[in-house]
Amino acid sequence: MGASVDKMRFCRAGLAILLVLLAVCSVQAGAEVDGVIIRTDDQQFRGLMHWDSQIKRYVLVSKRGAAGGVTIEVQFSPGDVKSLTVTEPPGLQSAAQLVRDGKIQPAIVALEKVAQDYDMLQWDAPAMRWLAEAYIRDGKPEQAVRACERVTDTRPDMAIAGEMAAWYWRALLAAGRNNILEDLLKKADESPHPAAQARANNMHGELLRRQTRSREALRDGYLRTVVLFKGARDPALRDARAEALYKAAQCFDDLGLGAPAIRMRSACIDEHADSDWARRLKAGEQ
Amino acid sequence: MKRTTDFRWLGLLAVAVLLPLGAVRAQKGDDAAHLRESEMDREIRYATGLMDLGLPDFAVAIMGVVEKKFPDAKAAAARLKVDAFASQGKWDQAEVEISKIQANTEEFMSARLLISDRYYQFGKLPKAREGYEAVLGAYSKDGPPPALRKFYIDSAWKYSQMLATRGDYTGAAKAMNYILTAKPDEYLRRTVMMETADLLLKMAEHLPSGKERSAALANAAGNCNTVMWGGQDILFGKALVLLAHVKKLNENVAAARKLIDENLPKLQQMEDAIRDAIREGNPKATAADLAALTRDALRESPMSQCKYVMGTFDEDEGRAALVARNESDAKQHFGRALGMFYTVIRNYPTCTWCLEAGQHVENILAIARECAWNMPPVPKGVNLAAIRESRYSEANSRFAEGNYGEAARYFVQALNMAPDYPDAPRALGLLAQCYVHDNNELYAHATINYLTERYSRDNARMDAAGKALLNVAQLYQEEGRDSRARELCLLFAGHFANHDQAPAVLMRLGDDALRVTNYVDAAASYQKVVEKYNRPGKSYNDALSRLAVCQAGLNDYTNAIATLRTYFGVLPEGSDKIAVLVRVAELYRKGEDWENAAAAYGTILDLLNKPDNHYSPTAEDTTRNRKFREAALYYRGSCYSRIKPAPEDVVKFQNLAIDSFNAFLKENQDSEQAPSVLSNIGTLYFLQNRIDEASQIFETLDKKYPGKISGILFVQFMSLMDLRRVEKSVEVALRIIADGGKKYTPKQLLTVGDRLLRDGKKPAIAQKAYELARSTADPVQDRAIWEAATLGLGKALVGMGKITAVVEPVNELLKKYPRGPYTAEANQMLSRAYLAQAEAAPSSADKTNFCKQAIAAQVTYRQYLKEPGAIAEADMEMAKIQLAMGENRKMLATYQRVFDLKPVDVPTVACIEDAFEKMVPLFLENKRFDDAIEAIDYYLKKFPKGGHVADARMWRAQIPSDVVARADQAAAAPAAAFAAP
Repeated sequence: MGASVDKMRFCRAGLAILLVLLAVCSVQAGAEVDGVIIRTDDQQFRGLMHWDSQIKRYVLVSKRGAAGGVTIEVQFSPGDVKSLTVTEPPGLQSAAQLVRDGKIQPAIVALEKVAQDYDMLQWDAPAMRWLAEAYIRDGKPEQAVRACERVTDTRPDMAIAGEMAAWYWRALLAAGRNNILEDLLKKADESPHPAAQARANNMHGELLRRQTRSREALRDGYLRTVVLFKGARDPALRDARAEALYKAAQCFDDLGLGAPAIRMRSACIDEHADSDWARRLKAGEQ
Repeated sequence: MKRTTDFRWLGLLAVAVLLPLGAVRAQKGDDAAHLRESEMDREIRYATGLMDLGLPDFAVAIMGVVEKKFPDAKAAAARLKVDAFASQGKWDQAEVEISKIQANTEEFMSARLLISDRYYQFGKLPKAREGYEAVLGAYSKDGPPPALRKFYIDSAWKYSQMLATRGDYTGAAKAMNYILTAKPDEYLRRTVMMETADLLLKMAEHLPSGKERSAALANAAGNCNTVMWGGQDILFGKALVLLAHVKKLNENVAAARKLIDENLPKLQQMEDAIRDAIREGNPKATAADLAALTRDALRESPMSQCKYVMGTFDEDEGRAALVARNESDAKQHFGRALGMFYTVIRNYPTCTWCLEAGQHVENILAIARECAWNMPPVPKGVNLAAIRESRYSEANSRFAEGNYGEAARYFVQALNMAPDYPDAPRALGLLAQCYVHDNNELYAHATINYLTERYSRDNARMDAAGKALLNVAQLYQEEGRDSRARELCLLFAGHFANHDQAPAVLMRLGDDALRVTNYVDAAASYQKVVEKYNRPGKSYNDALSRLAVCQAGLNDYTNAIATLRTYFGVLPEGSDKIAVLVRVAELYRKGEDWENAAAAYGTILDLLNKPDNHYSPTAEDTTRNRKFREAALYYRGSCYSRIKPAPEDVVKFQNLAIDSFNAFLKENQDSEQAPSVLSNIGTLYFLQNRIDEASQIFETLDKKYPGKISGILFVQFMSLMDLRRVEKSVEVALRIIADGGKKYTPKQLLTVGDRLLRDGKKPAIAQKAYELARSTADPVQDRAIWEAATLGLGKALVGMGKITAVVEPVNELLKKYPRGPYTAEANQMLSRAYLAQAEAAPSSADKTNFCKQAIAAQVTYRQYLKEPGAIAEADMEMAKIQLAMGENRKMLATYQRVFDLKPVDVPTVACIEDAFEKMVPLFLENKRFDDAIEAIDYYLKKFPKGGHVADARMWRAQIPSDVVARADQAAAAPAAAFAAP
């Protein structure tokens, strides 16, 4: 943003959009990244964007004019943004791989940077999901919870559905914050997302099993997913069901009920042969 | 279309074609459909799904909640409860649930039908029949109410099939007629009439000539005529052929032939119309697709049955000519019959008659081979292999429907027809499962043995046969017959050693045994995995780890350590390796080999001390290793302090212990173990007569951990106990007791008592500590301490052999707190104390009185027991009381009850062995030889490696020879009945 750019402002009725030609260096939380914002009226805006956490708006800067000499800055309140597309940060996949390889400290540094640079810009949530996993693996569930809450505070839906929610729940479970977890699981169960319902059932099962309440874990958790989502085709639901079958078998083992445990494992292998859970069973894990 | 036939069946055809599409769409919408259902519907669906999973207990629990929350779900809940109990064979409870439903309501009737279905499933045919007749008969005049109509029709159909499968065609035809009372639509009505006609025909086939046969055939013909008047559709064709069959059975083959010949063009027209309709309905279909669609549509063409029946006419005539030694005619007829059957197979491969035609072809070709005729080759397009496949697939589908009786029949036919069919091993497994379902254990046994013997050495089919065997084992397990499932797993492990699943099965066998702490059997299974499947991998590694657990459980520490060292070698770098070394060190500790244990902990510390070691690749490993290091430092010191070296080395090892404890404290100041480690150092100084340093340590302890440690003597006592210096600790304990509870809290006194009793085996001094703890603790405010001290006092008295003295304090405890954490244990102790008093009582009145009190305490104790082993042990104690009371018959009954228990865990097995040992001599003494021999044979079969095998054989030899011979004969009878002629 050049310092000598003239300031202009256009207001548009009904929409809280601020269009300014300016040369003001606003306070920025993250770096500027190239991307496209689609407004609720389906109009597209391309340019360098960032999230201004002080004014709680997206700021998009676009070069205009023959030589690109005019810089136009547009601000969008989150409510006016229908969707947002930003190129995946180059460091995200490598940071995720570091987590998978158990190289936690360098992974945390890289993921914190992605999360900061892409604050509210689509990729902060995946970064936080990996960050949560990294902290959990590092035995620091409280920090994992905090990482997730940096996203869920502004986007509460992400605490209920999606990949991020699953890791947030795991972090809460590991941190022993069962009350918050139970509230979220209830909301997920009442949500219109079948995958969230299934995952919530499984997490509920896990919560109860940790309290050595395997019977309740089955009744109020895993078996719900096993029965209610039988025959589902959505990959996320199928994965949740395979997990439920795998873990239900463990609960039956806890109760000394061998026959249903075998049935669960057989169903996992037969009905979800391509899942990781079935592969684990085939490899002899129980 | 030029032809003037009735095309109403084409509508049905269209429905049949469209149905699968609809089903696909319905499935696609399933995920979304879950969203739309109400909570009540969802919960009912959940409960029903749980039932389908074979989890009725869970289903009932869910329905209980639903019922409370949604009153509308009451009827569904009642039905589900009935089904839940019935599915488990809990008939009484199911009938009770039915009785709670208002009689003759729709819910009541549907519940009756449900339970009848379950009776049928469990092979309880008279009960099933009774239920079906009651409900179906109740609506036989006016038909069922609309809400019940579909269920009623389905049940009547099922009931009819049930009776037909069992050869009761009369009953089946009657059951089929119930459907007509439900006022079905026209097509279903005609279908039912056709089915009834078919059943009547089958009935007539088995009847001798006479009125009954004629009536059945007349009724069948009447039904056929009615159906034919309904229109010239597929059913018309079927009726026509059936009518021809009726005429044939009426010894009028010519009329039958004539009927078919006259109507053949009509049947051909129908078939052509089907072909045209398919072509016109699918203008864009490729030739291959069109052919496939036509093939499917012709499945119901009456022409297939017509050709089939014509084939049977010629086959029958061929057989007659052969009997009349007119070989030329026979050959001609058989040739024509083959032509008809080939047509059925080639043109109608999906029709129901195709399989039968295949069977006839096989029969005729067998005759031709026998007579050495040169028959023309099987025409192109006649795929006998496909027929065989169909036969297997028919059997499979019946199995999948749960129609096990019929499935078994089909499997046997398929296996006889094509014993080398690739799917034969699997079919044999399923056949065995059918027999298991139908409780035909003898046939199941034979089939399983055949499957094993025939295919276990056949490399190409061993895999499928092994899987089939394991599936049978799984079925047994699902039915709760764990011992039989285990037998099959052992059979598998013995015969299918090269099977992919063999290591997993051995692991499962091992795990099952390990779960009930049966280390001997578990170790044997794991040992096999280690020896036979010696290749790094999860199974091998786990087997090593668990084998070490078993060896340790059997106190075989040397081999357990050797196994763990092998395990250490195969593990990848990481904290798991250190964990193995920790286990090794623990085993040395358990074996009280303190020197090697200290060395093993030293090795752990050395490995972790090395810079850049490979044992902490991840943060998780680092955390674990930190804990291992802490434990190693602590236990190394502890082990050094327990070594009993030569007198000149005592100080050396004590100093090594002190160094190790100091190293621990340096790294783990905030550890929970720190105060106890510090007190150990103080005690070691104390033992070395370094009194000043010891005092300094104890003062530090007091300052640094205020409140955690109080009373220097108590600290010393605990440290001395930790260091296993029992005699020294007794000296200190006596000084504590002499203080009279002024400086020491009741809790500390309780701890002194506990450790003296548990670790020091000094009940007499423990008794004093407990008494002091009891007298200084407030029974109300310090209830927990007072209760524990009282129970401890009881245990100390038992340990001193003063069992009768237990009565007073324990009674005081139970009187003050009838229900508490020690109620069960206190009652058990009291029961034993009363029994001891009874045994010592001089008069029989006193004896009886004490015994009654012993029984009362025993009864209370039993109320708290859940584990089968503990219950069995309580039974054995009850038998002792019965013996003291002189109630020998009751005692014998108790032993018999224990002997009949399932050997589910080690304590139960021990009780069974004990009961056997006591029971058989009593049988012999009372000349109950039959009971004795039954018990002995059962024991020898179930516990071939049991502790009383030699006794059992000796007792058997004492039984009169005629009784033994009779028993042996009875045992051999079933095998003889099944033996091949």
